[in-house]
Amino acid sequence: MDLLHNLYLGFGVALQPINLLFCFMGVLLGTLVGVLPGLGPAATIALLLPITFSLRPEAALIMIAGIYYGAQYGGSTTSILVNIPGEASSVVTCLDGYQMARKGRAGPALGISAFGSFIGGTLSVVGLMLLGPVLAGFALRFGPPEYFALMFLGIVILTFLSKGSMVKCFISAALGLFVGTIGIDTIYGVQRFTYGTLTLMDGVGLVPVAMGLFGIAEVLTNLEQPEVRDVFKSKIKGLLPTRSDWMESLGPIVRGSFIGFFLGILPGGGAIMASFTSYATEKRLSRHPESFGTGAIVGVAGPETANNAATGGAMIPLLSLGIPSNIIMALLIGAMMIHGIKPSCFLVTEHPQVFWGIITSMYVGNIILLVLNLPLIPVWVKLLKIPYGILFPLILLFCLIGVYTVNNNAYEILIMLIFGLIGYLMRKTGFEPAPLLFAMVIGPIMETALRQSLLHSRGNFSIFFTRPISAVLLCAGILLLFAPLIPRIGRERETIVKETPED
Amino acid sequence: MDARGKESQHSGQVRKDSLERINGLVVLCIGILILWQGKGLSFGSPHAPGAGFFPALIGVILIVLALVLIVRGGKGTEGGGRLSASSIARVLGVFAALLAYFLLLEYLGFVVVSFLLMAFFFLWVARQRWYVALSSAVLCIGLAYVLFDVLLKSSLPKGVFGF
Repeated sequence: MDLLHNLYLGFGVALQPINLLFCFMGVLLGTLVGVLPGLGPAATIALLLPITFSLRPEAALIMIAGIYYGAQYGGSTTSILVNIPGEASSVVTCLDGYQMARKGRAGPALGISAFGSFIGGTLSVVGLMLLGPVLAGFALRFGPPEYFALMFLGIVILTFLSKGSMVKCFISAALGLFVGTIGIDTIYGVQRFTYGTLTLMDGVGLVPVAMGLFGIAEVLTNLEQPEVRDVFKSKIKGLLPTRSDWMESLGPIVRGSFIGFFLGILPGGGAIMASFTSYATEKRLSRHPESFGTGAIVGVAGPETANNAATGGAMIPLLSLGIPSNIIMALLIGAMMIHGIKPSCFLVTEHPQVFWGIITSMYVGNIILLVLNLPLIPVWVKLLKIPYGILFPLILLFCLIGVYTVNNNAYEILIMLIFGLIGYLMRKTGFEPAPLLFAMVIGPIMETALRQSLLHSRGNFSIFFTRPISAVLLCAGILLLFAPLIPRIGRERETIVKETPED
Repeated sequence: MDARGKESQHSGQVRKDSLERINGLVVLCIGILILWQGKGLSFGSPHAPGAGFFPALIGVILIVLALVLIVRGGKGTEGGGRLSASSIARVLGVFAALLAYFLLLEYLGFVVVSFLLMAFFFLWVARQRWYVALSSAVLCIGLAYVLFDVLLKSSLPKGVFGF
């Protein structure tokens, strides 16, 4: 059995003590930042990238993946206890989770979200295992036009799901594409927009931009407000959901796993869309839709399962096509490239220990999270009480040192500060910073794909529409692009995205 | 709604519109800047796109999107809340301190400049008592030093004092 052999290989990597340690550290740190409001998973991964440089690639990627799904867990804890989503994908959890906590059922809410996340995460890893290599095989047929079309679709979906106006999101993405062109042109070797500086020769670094946009800018935004944080005070008891809780939640958990997994695969989609879709589905299927929003356990179980299942789905385009489906995955690509691994459809064959190691480590990580999360909930609650005045200098110092140590280049600090300022101003003026980072990472791949396609077709743009896969992807993108102009869909989109906070 | 309410709503819309138009103008300038700065790069032709092809495309896209923003005004977007003077001072102060950190880092060295930065944050922004602030600052730098210099073996810059 090929699969068994691969699993054996994967577990061989994931269960090495050193990798196990980094997996543990990853999920622990991830949960920690998921709990702390004001520091999202994107900022954390950017912050910790420099630390992973000295590790072996498998260990580094295992740790980063751990941070990603650990943050997913942590985010739901704050949603339930404080009504503050630790991150965007746990916004819906607030609706019923916090109501459950107010009725004295915080324990079962936290419990079902941990179990649901575990089941969703596990099922999605199984899906990833089965579908990943198949898609990688399919991707061998992808040429430059298909890659270009897929990335175009990714940008469109990301902007479609972003809060606020799509025009502004596209502006943000276009700025990101521009930042991606800075440095040496990959085809002709010409310097672009470097102005003779050594720092810009290799392009603008991912780490300083990510830290600036999500670390520095986030801190600056948070500094505006004198903090108000109302931590849920009553004691949490009885984390284990009752039998009837389980009976009610089983359906939503199974459906949430599938919804999450398949929506996670879509480029630009991911956890946010998955959790909203699951909530809407459960509400529609429920015999008591009126109980939603008043503390229905199914309203916690479904979305919490879905957002964790989405993390497994999101890994598919990354590991099999080398294309990120969201900004976290974009950061993971950055980390891979730093370690000299070119993410592409050849990853499975060229670096099987990385591919299967990450997948199986996600499985191990999910078990660690379940074991870790339930007993540690009181600790997370205490952490919520750390005043921001103590927290923010630490975050800033970490950003400053972290970005310096990447290349021992002080100018990267300047780049980070510039992007920090840009990110702050963007937040103030209603531009989303996420598309910028996303587009910056895929920009160079997209540009190369576009230019190669045109070289291939001798300048004929119809190449994108005569090849079936690329035509389907492009048409889907264009349809989605104009969909908000239809009033009904535009309204639906607004209701989906309006409650989404900034990442 | 009485007349005054309507009026203030109207002026709110005008303010939103003009804010969005300013955003649009800034983006327009960025688009033009990209085209202008990228004019030295060869555009090539669709047959063989050159190094300037993609940047020029982005510049044009930005200009078009900026025009949409300018024409459309603030329709369907929420305006940012107003800030008090003390919030603005806090944000600007912190950002200025970070810039100063960048300028002084290689001259004064990691230890000194980080201590100054942390002490400034704890004293001025977090408003801790001076002995709490100074000891927290020392603690932070000690931790950072152990983590980055000792454990991760990255060389943090030494300044004129030799540390």
